[in-house]
Amino acid sequence: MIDLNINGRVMQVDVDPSTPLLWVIREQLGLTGTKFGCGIAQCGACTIHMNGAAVRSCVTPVSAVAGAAIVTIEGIAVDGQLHPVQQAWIDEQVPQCGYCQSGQIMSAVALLTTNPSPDEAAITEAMQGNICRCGMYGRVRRAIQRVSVPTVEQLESQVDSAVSIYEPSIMGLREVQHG
Amino acid sequence: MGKWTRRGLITAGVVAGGALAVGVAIRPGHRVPRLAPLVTGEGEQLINAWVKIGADNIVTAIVPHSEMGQGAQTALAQMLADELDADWNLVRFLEAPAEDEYANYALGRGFILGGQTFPAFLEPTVDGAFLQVSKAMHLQITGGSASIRATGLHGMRMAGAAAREMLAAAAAQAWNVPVGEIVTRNSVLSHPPTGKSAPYAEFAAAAGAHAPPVHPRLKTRDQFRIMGKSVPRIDIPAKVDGSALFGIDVVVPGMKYAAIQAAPVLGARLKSVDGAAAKLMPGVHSVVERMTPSPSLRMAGGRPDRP
Repeated sequence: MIDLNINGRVMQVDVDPSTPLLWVIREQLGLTGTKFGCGIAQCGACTIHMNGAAVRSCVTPVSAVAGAAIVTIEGIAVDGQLHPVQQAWIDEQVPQCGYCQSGQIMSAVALLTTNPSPDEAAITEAMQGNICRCGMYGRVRRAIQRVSVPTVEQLESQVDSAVSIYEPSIMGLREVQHG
Repeated sequence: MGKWTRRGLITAGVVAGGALAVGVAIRPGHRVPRLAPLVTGEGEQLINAWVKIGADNIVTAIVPHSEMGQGAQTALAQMLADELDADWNLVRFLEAPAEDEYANYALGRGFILGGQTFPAFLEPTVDGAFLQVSKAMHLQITGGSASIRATGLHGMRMAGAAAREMLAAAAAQAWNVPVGEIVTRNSVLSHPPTGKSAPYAEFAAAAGAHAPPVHPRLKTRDQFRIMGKSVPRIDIPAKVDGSALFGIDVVVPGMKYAAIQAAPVLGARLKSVDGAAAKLMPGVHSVVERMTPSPSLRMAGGRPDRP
């Protein structure tokens, strides 16, 4: 028997310790939102959180996660309220077929938890292990940016650009006043 | 192509909870030899797209095609809802295989034709395009734009328009007014001269008692209110919370898992299989050597006789 802490609940499973966590999640626990893709940690469809970090459950033996806090796609909404990343996924109409999207979302949530204001490079770095055969990468990026917290630098540059847009007319007004 | 006229009919009935269900049934009387193994041997065949209108005024489009991100489930629901003059916010969809009456041919047949004498009930509706629906249905194919052009045009729109006319007929009868004066809009029936109005749900059961129209009037393009509009896809919410059901998520009683050992090179021929070691592994049911593809596999494009 192995004790697992999944989505805040402790459960006991009776499986071989070498069983991939993915099989336990899908078959023993019936949480089928996490998907099997490649089985060799190359596609990201099976991504879950282990103590907040994104890991590939298809190559993680269940014995390695005993005692750790495991969260699956079914566990990120709170009290029926979608996680902001899930809502952003709807707002940007990210999924096409949807098969990889649980993994995409779990990777995105892990990224934003550690880095609430990822720049382009950070998004690429965090998401490059999640393959989408429908090719929804642009929408994934936009959805992440939608829930990113703007950095002080980004806010300043937005203010700067706003000022630069209005400056000529402000200057013009001054000239009129003083003219 | 063989003659496929006079083979389709619009069907309707009342199902559990007083919901009105309308569909389009197919009768493939012309046996194209290649299709014969794929349809059961008994005369008429079911079924195409259905609409259900429940007591909660929710319109459910029962979609017989796969959603691969092409938006078929949303688009088909739009086609249905528009012809039905439904309130788009009250429209839901259901994947066809999840519906018992739909998945089970015998039950569906009993429901659709229950109490009806088949030849008298059969009326010509639309012609050869039903062949496309029939093929799409029995092969469970999604592709080639058949969802929209066959199921959508000749199934969803027909079923929606038929349901709308049946609801209007039921309301006209209850209110004792000419059916031509009934207005349908946003899932509400109304009769402007008397100011009467009621949600569709109120007449769903009564509508089931009316014979489905043989030739429901379809909208013209300028009358479209939901079709042709870009709306958020209705399949997406289930794809962001893990609840969407994919093929790999389906479990049936007694299900076995198969793993295929494919040839390492293209065009290889199988010489022999030694499954002895595999069979000794716990839980292994059997090792099957190059199953002969069924006729349906051949139809689906498999070419078992070629290397």
